[in-house]
Amino acid sequence: MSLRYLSIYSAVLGIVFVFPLLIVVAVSLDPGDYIRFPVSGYSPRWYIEMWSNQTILLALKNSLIVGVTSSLIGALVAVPAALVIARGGRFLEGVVYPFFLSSFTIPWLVYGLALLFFWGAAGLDLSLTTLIVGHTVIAIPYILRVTLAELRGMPPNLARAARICGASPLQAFFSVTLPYIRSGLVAGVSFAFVVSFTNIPVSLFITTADNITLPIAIFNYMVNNFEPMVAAISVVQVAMIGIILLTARKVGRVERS
Amino acid sequence: MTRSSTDLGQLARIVLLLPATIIVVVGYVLPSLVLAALSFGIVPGVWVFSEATTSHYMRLLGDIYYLRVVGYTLFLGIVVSVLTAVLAFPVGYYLARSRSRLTSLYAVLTFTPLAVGMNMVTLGWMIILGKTGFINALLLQTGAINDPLQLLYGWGAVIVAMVHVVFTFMVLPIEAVVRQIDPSLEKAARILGAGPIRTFIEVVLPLSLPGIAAGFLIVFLQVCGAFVLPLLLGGQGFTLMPIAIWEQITVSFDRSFAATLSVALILISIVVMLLQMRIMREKSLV
Repeated sequence: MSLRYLSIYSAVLGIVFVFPLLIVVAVSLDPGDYIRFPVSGYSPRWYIEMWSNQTILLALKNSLIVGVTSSLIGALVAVPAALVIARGGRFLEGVVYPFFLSSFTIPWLVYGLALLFFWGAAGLDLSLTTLIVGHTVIAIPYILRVTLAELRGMPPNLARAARICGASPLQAFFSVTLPYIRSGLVAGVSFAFVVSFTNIPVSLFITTADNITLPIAIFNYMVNNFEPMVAAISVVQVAMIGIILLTARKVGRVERS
Repeated sequence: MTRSSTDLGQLARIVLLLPATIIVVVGYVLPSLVLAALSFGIVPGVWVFSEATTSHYMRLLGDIYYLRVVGYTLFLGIVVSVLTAVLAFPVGYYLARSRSRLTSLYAVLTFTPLAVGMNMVTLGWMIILGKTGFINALLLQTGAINDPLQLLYGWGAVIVAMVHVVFTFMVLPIEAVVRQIDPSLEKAARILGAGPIRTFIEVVLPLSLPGIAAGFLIVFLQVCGAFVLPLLLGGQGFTLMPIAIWEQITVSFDRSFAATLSVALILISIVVMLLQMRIMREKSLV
């Protein structure tokens, strides 16, 4: 079959897919008061105004705290679990591993609702902490999967050699295993951060005026007042994600000789 | 095989698994149980429980409005899955067979909707399809129409944007499965006299079915759980299950019924997963 036609088709579809994102960038530069096309002009007006919006600033700060904390806690609990699961065994593979991945299978909105009811039943007020717990639960599957894939690709003799040479289990982990799984781990953690940083459905019911996150603030804007500032905030959010993913790529790059 | 030097003791295993287990139990299992209890009208306080009732389920099954919401959700899931499979197959095939360096760039490209977040994608499509949006501006300027078209709000807008979002979930499994098909099979079919279409239908397609089925499942589940995109692009009166759940919380303040709708949505996901597993098993017997 002619790959040439397929490549043209794929390229056209690819352009259609980037287009919605480019158009948001164009609109974010519109100094007018409502969203329209063609844009009425280009100015950084909304990029300047967003920094004097207290809700946006608070939401951005909260989102960074929740995203960083949940992905790091996710790594701290998922990596030890992955070390055990990687040893194999019917119980670990068939019960423990699917159990950790189970939050993958229910719709995020439903999970957010379950959290709302749960914190209510437990008598706890909604806060950044309650939000972080939810985001950690959804971070675990992402980090666990990539870490496990890296561990399974690792020759078992590497860690064993370290032990035979006299390293303690902790030394063997930090000097042999961790460097080996680093690139996958960094990718998993950064992706978990992005999932948290863009998540609306899980946070929707468990955010208040105090622990509001950036995506929820944007969502509220989109529902209530549709002005170019919402485009500007979205572009800033995406720029931050881009910076984080690129940094993660650099940090995660391993030279394997 | 001896693993003595690196093997973990029973105690070490438990200690290593414990933190993740605690978080998943407290953060996921218990909340899910509270949700399930609430769907039966049981309100778990720290000590107090109220009486169980199935009245919320009866209400769901007896109310034509909510049955229609369930129907719409399933319908959207099927339409988007089929459409995405048709549109994504040529791309997945191309990515699997091409030796071009650009293919890795393409993988990044189909992944962007997930990395930039649902608000960005939804906003983009709102600007493209809106009354003062891109397509209308284009058509008005070229003189093709005199009054702006109503493109936003409704099935069309939701389907188009949804296909965009889930595209990567379909392309990846198709690409993976086509990679495993030996190109000489296609060559053999062509040498034996089959045209390109017949080769596709009788050789490539049957061998790709596991990949398509895998993509179908993920896409269907994503569509059933979608909230932000259908809410903003569907407009007033466009109600899917997640939107109905949200309305129960923010408009009707009926937590129990919201829980019932949520359990129904989870049940749908489980049924779809079981169905898919069954189909896959029968296919592998053939």
